[in-house]
Amino acid sequence: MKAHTDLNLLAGGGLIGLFLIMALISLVYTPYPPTRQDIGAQLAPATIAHPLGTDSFGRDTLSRLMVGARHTLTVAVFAVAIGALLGTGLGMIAGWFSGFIDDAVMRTVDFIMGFPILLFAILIAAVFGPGMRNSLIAIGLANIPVFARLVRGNLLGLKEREFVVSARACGAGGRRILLVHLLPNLLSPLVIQVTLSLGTAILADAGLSYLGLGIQPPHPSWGRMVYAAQSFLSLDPWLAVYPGIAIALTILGFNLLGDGLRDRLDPRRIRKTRKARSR
Amino acid sequence: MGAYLVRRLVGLAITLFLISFAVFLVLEVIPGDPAQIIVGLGASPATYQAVRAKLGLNRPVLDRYFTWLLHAACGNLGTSLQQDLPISRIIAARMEVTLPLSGLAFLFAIGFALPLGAFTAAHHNRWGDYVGRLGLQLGMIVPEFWVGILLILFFSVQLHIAPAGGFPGWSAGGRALLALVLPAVALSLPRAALLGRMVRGAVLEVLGEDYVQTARGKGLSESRVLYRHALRNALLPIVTLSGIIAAQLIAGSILIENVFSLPGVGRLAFQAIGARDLPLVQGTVVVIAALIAAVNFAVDLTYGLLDPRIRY
Repeated sequence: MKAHTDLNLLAGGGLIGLFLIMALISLVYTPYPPTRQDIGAQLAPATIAHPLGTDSFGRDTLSRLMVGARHTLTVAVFAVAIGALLGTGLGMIAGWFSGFIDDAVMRTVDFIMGFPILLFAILIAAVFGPGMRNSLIAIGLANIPVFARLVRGNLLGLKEREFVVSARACGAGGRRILLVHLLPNLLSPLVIQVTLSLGTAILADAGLSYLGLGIQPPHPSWGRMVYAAQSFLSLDPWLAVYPGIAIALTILGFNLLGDGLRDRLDPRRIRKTRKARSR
Repeated sequence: MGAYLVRRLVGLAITLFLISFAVFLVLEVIPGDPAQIIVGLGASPATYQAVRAKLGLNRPVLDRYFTWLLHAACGNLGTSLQQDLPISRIIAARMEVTLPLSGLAFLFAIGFALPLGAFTAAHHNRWGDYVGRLGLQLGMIVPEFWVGILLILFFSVQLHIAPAGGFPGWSAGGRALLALVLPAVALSLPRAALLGRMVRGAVLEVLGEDYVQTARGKGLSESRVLYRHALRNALLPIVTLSGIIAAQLIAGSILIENVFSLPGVGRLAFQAIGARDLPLVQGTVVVIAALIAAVNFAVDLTYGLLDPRIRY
């Protein structure tokens, strides 16, 4: 069990670390400027000069993948941050105040949950036009329900525990109990959910950029690179394969990391593992 | 059951009302004047006024919303600005592609997930399980549009056995169905993976139950125990997820219809944004969301049929 957990953490962390380093390096260095067109080298195969070849405008695929990693990770991190912050806030309000407020908040959350990310994005694009900021808002909003439900569910169990009763007896107010006593106890499930949500956010961002609702050309994004490659499938299929693999590996990285963290941090699983070992 | 049905119907009506109101409000906050955005800056004042009148912008917001809602309840979703046709008629024509596509993808998802999930559970912690789980994990991480492109690359570009996109219309019979096969496979794979994991978990849980041991003790074959006894009792959580998956398929068709250039509702919504045809955006988004709400409603009702212990 432990070896399996460590393998998940190692493989997931390794994959994410790789793409993170790639994204960070792209801030200061890419083999070629990602938007520079080389008309003489359109759809060039992989060579030493262009390790992953070039696209239909002669732009270096590796450079575009590196900058695409930065854009994708930025959207995912900010979108999940929006979802986690708003979702946690709403979940805490719903879990703390039961009755009408709980009902109203949770029904709103259920309503958002029933509304697919793509429809959000289409509506937001219809209102503000397509772009990175708007895909970020759409993915962020769509992430609210999962955090709200997670926090509310955990809070309902925690708020009846002795340490909360003691804090109340010591005269602590609602806000203090929520932020100082309850929030630290919610951190483990939140960290796990953030990791898993980053994977789904990357998938959503890839879909939105494929449709042209994400970051706009000529800036590279993995989803849009797949879209652009679709017209040249018979000439250069690798153009569509590289960004697809990058998307899949990043999601795999976050999924493995999330699974590994869950095994490490989830108290129920730790208890189960300890029991199994003591037998 | 009757009271439950009424309660759920009222819930469905409230959801539909909220969806339509939310979509209306979102489109209402468009910065600037929608009529001006639609006609562009160079349009004549007469054209601008005509579009304003057509959109009903000279009336109060709530008045416009309730008029729209009243018409929508009678099946009239307004007129498309770009195509100058009734929106309900345009959407109905596009549904001829979206509904069969989603239905076919749903069948594929169930067809992949049930046997694979049951197989991996039956081979728990053996090679069959490891290989099956690897397949399920792969299905979870690959984007559906990328799967679509890989399928086009293999079956259309390399093998030439399926069309790379487009839809010839139902009058073409078999060719029309063939045009939907690759898109449906691409659409179904990520959902099949999710469902397969669920099936595996549910069957594993059931396989430890006493009645499964009894079935084995009676001398039934392992496949009969698995498919007739274990899988059947693992169905309830699977149905719950199937509802979510059916809803996802309808939403996912927006992407896949674009990959395969299929003239469905998803592609229509997307094209409507490009054309700044706001009434059409509103109509398609509301219809897609309503369809999803209706699917969830239908799933809720099937619980009672599958599990006789559930009483409403």
